[in-house]
Amino acid sequence: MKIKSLIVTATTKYIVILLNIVAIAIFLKGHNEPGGGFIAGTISAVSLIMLVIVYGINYTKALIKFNPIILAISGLLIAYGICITPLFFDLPFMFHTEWSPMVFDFGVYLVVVGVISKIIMMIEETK
Amino acid sequence: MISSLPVLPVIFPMITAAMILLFSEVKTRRLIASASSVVQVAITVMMMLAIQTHQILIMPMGGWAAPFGIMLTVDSLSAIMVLLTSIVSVAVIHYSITEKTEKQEHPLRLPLIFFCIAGITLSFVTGDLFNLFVAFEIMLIASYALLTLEIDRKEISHAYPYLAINIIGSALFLCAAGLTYSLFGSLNFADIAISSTLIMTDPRIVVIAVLFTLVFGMKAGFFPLYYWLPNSYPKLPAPVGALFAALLTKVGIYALLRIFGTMLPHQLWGVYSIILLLAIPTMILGAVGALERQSIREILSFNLISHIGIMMVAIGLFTQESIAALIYYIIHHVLVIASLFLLAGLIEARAGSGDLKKLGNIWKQSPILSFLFLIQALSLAGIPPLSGFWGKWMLISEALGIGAGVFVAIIVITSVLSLWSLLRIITTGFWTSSATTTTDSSNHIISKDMVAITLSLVLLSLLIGLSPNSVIKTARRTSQSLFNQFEYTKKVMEYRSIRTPHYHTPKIIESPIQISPEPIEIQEIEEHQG
Amino acid sequence: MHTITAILVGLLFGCAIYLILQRSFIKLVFGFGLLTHAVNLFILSMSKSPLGKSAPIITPGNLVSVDPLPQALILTAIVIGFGVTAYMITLVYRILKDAHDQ
Repeated sequence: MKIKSLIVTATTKYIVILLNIVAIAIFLKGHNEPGGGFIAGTISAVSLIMLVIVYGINYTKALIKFNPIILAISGLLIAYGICITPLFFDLPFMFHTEWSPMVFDFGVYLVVVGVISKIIMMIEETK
Repeated sequence: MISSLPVLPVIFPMITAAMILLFSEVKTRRLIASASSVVQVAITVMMMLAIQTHQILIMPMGGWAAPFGIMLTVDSLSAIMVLLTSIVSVAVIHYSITEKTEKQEHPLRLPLIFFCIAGITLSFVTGDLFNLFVAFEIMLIASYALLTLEIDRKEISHAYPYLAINIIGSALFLCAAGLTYSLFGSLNFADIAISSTLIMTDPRIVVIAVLFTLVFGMKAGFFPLYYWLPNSYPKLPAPVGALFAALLTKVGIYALLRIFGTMLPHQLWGVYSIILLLAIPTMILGAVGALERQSIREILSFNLISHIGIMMVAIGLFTQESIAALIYYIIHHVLVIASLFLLAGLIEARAGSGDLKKLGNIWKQSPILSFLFLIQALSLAGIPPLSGFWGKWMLISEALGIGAGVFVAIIVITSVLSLWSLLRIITTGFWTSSATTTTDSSNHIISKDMVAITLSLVLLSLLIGLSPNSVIKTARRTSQSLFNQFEYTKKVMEYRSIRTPHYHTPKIIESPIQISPEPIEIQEIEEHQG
Repeated sequence: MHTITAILVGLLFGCAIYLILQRSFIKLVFGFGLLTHAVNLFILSMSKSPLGKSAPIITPGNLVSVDPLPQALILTAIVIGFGVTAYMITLVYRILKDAHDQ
């Protein structure tokens, strides 16, 4: 599927960049206010979905250059890693300091982006 | 090290699954899987040893205090179940590795098995209902995927009843959890146990207990809800089928034990009698269904259901001795049914089919496999020196002691029918010299490693049967600790006194917006905006 | 409020079960979706402070706070329901496609 409308193709680039900036802002907002890795990941994934819909799957693949499954797994491993690190210091599992939830959220972000983009790519490719 | 033991057997398979997915080379993947499953056994053995000295191991996740934070709680029962899981999983994973050549292997099978094991283990070590739900879902989603991963295209619709009944089960589980929360104000087992002593006679407890019986009965395969089981398990590849048959149903039984033993008060005789009444048709119909089916693994699946019925009798009687019998029976059943499913897989691989009509002459073709199958079949039916006998013996003597003779009669009838159906496999499948069997077994070569793995499971179950004393002693001690609700709650509530969070005090942040209980302000703001 | 919620939950459950019992796969998928929503609403109606226990929100200024546990439970259920629904749609698609091919 490819949309040929000039307005859509012209504006999508900027919207994608804007969406990713919004995603970073929401990611940094942290835990006391609505936000975090999952939502930021979803917004980034939406930007990827827009790219796929507007420019097609081949263009998107050439643009992003990463394997979504590898991205998701590395996110998973980052999240696991930050969870088990306290065990080496004789602290409980998932024990957190000021910054460690951010690392966990970054892992979640990568997982969400990877998994959703993998799903959308698979759907596009089987069409 | 000991303090981190409860979480290790959960996080370790999860990390392994991710690592396996990261590498694309099959050799590396297999090496990781094999090494990880062995390490998992080592971890769980250490946990079992730690339980001997510490009784209960607790991990407060993130260092939060007891009734609010997530407590992974490992008592003797959990440790036994986790150990069994790791033993079965090491056999299943090595069987799975040796079963296929490197090209045939589906890239997602090993990671999904590891995620499934992580879910099963989490449901054993968790100390609250919320995580029990999460663990069930991890396990179920992995099992949905495994169910349809390598299935024949024509048989894919058999996955549908399994999916449907488990979605309804999950929905009811959430309802039950919601009701529990509204009644007790907590989802932590220990906290609920304390609250439930205050409102012991409240009829709403019975409602919760019945809902949980329904939910976990679906998972375990109780009488009206077992339809999905014999239609989906035989379709699976042999190692996955062994994993599911050995452990997924036991998770349901374990969860019932946890709910009735640890969480709720011990006088719910009405609910126990419902379980007892449902046990009768479960046993009879399972055994009769096994007589009717025509393929090895379908017969084994129906036998699984009838043995679930025997376990239900043990739960329904709900005495200390009957629960001890149940724990022994679970240990026996996990090992025996796993090895039987693996043996059935080996025989199917050798003969090219599991259909009794097409089988024949197995006894001559592979005498070792047939002999092992015979031993395990006799053990499953409960013939004296083998492991299946002792659990049934403990249960029968306990039932006779408290005057439940009807159930003794039905257990004996079930065992006879079960023996009949299993011997039917031997007589019609193994002994007859069927002409239709393809003697050309050149493309059905089974490796020696697969036989060795299965043999080690068989030897383990023989060991339990031939020297049952230490296992029975462990089962009795576990049952005793399960009935001692006070000890469990005391150990968990020791973590109540720690400050939240455990090791550093949070900065109390001044909330910039004052939230007023009255809604007038919101109207004022709206007026301002308007 | 509780009465209305109770009626709504019952209605949703009724519709879900009616749809699940239909012989059309699409209706089945919608039925399971409705079932999830019915359960979520049911859990939401359970949030209060039972047995005098309240959520451990200790920041000053939060005089009235919402019970976070049912929300966490619902959030988990939504995410899991999303995954399971996606899987079910794929499965139903495969079943229907195979039936169509034959």
